[in-house]
Amino acid sequence: MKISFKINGDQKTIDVDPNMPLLWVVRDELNLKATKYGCGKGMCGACSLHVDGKLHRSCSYPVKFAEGKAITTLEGLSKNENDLHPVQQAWIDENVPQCGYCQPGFMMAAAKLLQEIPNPTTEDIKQNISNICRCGTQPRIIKAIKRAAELNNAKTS
Amino acid sequence: MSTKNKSLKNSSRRQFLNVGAIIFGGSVIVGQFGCGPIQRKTFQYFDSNEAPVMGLGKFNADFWLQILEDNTIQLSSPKVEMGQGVFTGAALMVAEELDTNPENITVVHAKTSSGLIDPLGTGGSTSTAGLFKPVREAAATMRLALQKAAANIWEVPENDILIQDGKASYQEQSLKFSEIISQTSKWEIPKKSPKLKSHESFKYIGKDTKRVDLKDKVLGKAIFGIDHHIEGMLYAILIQSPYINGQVKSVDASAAKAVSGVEHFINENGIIAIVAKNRYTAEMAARKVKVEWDVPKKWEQKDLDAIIQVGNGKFESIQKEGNVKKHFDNGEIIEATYRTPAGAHAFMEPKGAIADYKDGKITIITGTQQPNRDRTEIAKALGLKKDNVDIQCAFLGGGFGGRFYLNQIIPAAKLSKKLKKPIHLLCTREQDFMNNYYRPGSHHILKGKIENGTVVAAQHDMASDDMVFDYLPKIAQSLIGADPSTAHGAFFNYSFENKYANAHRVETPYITGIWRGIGINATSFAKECFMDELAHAANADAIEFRLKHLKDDKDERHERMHKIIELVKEKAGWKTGKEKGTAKGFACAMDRQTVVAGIAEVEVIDNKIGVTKFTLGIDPGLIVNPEGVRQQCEGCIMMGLSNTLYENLTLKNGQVENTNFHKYPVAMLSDTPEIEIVLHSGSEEVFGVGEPPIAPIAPAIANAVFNLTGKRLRTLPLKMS
Repeated sequence: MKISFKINGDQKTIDVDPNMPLLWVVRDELNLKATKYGCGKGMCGACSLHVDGKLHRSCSYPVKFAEGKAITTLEGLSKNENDLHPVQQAWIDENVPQCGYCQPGFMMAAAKLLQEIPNPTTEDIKQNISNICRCGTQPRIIKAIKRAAELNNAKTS
Repeated sequence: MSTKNKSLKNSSRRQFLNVGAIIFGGSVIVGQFGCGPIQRKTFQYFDSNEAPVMGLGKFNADFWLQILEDNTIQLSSPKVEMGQGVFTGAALMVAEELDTNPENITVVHAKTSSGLIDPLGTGGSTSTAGLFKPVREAAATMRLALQKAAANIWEVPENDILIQDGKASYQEQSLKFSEIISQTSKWEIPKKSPKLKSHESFKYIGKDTKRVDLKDKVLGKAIFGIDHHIEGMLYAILIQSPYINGQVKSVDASAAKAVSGVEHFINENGIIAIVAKNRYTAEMAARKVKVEWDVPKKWEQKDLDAIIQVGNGKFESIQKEGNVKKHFDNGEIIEATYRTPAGAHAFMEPKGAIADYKDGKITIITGTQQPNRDRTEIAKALGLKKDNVDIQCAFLGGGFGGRFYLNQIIPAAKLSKKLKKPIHLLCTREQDFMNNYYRPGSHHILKGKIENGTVVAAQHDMASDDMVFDYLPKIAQSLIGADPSTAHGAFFNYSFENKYANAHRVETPYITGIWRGIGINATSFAKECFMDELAHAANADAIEFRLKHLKDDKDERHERMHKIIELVKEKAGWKTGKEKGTAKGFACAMDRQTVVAGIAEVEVIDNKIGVTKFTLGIDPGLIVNPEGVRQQCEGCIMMGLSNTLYENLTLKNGQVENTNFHKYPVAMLSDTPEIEIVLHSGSEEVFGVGEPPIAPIAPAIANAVFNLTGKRLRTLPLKMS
């Protein structure tokens, strides 16, 4: 089945099984590898991306529902490498990643959280992001999200 | 002019340095065979020394460093980057000897085909320590070679040439490294090991440095094992038994084969696989393969618990100092029993491999902790010469000891050879949980006797399955007797006059192996909780009681431990007793030469234990990158906390019960405590960092729970009810 959508600003039409999870479409059909496979059941958040501005776990999102919508993956979060999204800039400032595998999902979740709660408290962050990291970057993720909020505030003020 | 084909690497076929070989075991154990006392001595040597077991073998160091066309210095690392930050530490070592900003240094994984083969793998908290001398020597040799080459170009004395910031300079003249290379055809390489910079003059080593892989990982550009794409690649999924030791009785793949997009169904020589044009098709079809399994025994968790009991299995005495028995013959003996569960690595990137067989040669791309072993295994399985097998490491989506043995590389290789196509084989998360190797569970009985507030005798008996024993050379097996990983930390480092430790090696039905911290997770939980029980029985402060038993003049770690305990105690504001619904608990550990101490602060709300704060102090000797050490400490706190409160791999009806994260809960953002890290360098030598900090986490939390609630929880994961 042919399905059309925008991804990171580009219009794409692909011909795949309509039930194929968006994860595999993004990774294997469109060769955007930042979005990761973690659990396949929507539990770990490694595959998080945005569809029409909403946060989704793409391993459990059949591609047919993306028809006509706009998808953003980590590759499309920043305008370019010299103008980083506050979340990515904050991740660099706080030296967050270790192995790095889960980080794209965390950054997509953080970007969404900041839209909903522009100045989150530690509790807000702890209660609203349920992605999994095994290396133990959680303390830095919390700091980086607060830092991203500051960067956002500095931009808009 | 392009310097591409004229790089320093290629200019000399001879080796820069024949880096001092550190051979398994070293001279200490060679020639000593078998009886009890020697076994114990050997075991203790293994346990307390910065293990040569995972140091470096011989390399041709001229493959380590290259200067690229854009004047970047590229290090090919024989140690893999799994998040532990070894690339960054290694970059600092190169930066130091070339006196060049680490930003101008890139680090990539070495390929086995490049001739750079680490015979021992990445693990055991030995990478930074293992690289510390050889990488600096290679860089220093490169500095001298560049100096000499520049001297030849300008026809001036080499000693007048300054090598700094990616260039050589003499008075007003300067040449970039890459320019020197393009103007040099014959290289003079010093024969002797170069003099290295003194530690006092370090400019980069010891300074906080952000990760060299940071930007790529934040931009999503870092390539992990599963991210590689080869044109024409097919996607494979293995059909594996959901039962422990299940054997195939019958297979019906008719429905699976009928799925559009399935290219092959393979059922031969023990490999059952679906191969399809994309991952989704492979997964859908794999679910339609009907297999009847022959299950020799449907294991239940209680069967395992009955096996893992002190008294079962093969007995090995690993510590025997003084006469414990005499002291235990009379008077009051304090005794306690502890248990730890089996654990899964559950790294975020499930295991997988990409295999590409072409013209009698095979390339494997994967995240692995042991490329050399992989190469040997693949060569054997495919009947190839080792030289025709190239293992290319990608970033590892977590290691934790779980990528030492990759059970999917051989099927991937065989499928690629058979189908003459590149194969992308990725385990499902369920397979990663159910068809893997695990940290073995353990059972501990501890006994102690106190006289006048001092421990006069103590004994630790531990039962568990092996982690590395089968992989050790036969000679080492007979020398050590007990599994050096499982029983790691089992014996007492305190200065008790009489102390025994015994390992009881039992066999569980699944494959067991290493997990971050190896045995010290279990042994330090049992021993440090018991030490708390002894302190309580002696009516002593938990910290003072430990300091009192850290008085061995012959063990320099004792003095370093005193210092780190003092620092942690101050940082955490150590107080016994409750405070605003919280209480603190203490634990410390020596993991080989690294000393660590931790103070947990906990609360219990609705019967749920929460860690509100963790203060961790570490003395890992010379610190190469404090920021990297802090990351590892934070990682150990979170993984240790996860292991203390949640992780528990169990069997039910013959299967691993934990099929995915909903049945194997791990620490989340919501569990994150406030964290304070105290670093102290009490030695000029570099020791390990990746695992030691995990040792005090579980016992500090359990001891804090006792101080808060009066309940001694002696089984992991800790549960209030």
